[in-house]
Amino acid sequence: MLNLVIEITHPPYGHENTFAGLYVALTSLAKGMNVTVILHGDGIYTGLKGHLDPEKHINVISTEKQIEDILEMGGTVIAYRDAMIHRGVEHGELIKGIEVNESAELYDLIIEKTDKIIAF
Amino acid sequence: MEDRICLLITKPPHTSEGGKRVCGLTRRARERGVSVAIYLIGDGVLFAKKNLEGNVAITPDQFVSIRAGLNDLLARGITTDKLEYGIEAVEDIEDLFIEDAMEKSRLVVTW
Amino acid sequence: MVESKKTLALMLFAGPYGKQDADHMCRIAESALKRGYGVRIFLYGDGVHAQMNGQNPLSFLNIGEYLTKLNEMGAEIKSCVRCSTARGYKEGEFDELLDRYPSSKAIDAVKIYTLYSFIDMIRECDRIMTFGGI
Repeated sequence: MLNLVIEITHPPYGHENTFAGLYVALTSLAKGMNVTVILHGDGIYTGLKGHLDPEKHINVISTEKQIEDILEMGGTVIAYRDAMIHRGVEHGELIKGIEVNESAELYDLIIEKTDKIIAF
Repeated sequence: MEDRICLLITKPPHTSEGGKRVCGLTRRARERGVSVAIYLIGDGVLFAKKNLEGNVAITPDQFVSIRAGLNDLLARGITTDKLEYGIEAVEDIEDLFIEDAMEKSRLVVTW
Repeated sequence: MVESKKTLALMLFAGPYGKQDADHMCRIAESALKRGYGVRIFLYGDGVHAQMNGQNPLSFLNIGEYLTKLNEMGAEIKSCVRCSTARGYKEGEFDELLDRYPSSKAIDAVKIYTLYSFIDMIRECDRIMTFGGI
């Protein structure tokens, strides 16, 4: 099975990048790929849980819901610990099911277990 | 055959923590005996300027090669005397990159 | 020339002139085509603006013309229908004969298509590169 990594480097709603990247992740899962989403840099903010009706408040699709759907469909979502520390984000603040990786684990995933990688 | 990956960098070192990521990935690959070929184009050539702070700088060695687009460098006023030691400035960077990405490396990372 | 034709997929997520990414992508695509590789391009997000008809930049390389040239050299170029609809390009339902969603605002070289065509590119290509996502 094709191992696809999708990197998310932006916060959830200020750019279309995050929605668009997660949308590719969902569609790739639906088409039978093995998908890992990496939250890196400001992408860490996309992992924060508890968004309150973003559809109603700011007319955007909930990226939290997208991440939950990715996890439910068997995708993996990984947050990069260094980027969390820079932003004061703790594991308990992340959407349930998101894993936290140290640099070595994260880079080994890319170097050893990834067939294709795309960045948003 | 040599185990090799290549990176195409188009953004400057401090955009989206790209420098830390590029260096982290490169150092980890080197530790594991995987060769890394880095290609710098557009604003990515700003990685090639010497005296960059250590946490975002990589030194080429037997496992790591770095090439920067000569035209992009010159356009930004970075003449070859301002390059970090071991970084090569090349004119036909797209052709060298494509050859590497399609034939020599098993994974391409664009940043 | 390369004997077994490998394929390169390229995604563009930035508009034609606000960032240099479209320019980089086109140069990489041209180099790959000249070496005999297959090239498949997907315009996504603001990247769909690269399909705009009648671009006339005064001091930059014309990306619309560059895409047309790449298409003539053999590149397959598609753009996201959802992103194209949001930005006013789509003008009707999918046209089987034209093999695209119709748009008088888009250059002929680019076919407006569903995101599934990008997923197919990801799956079928030998290498993928992304421009403008960061």
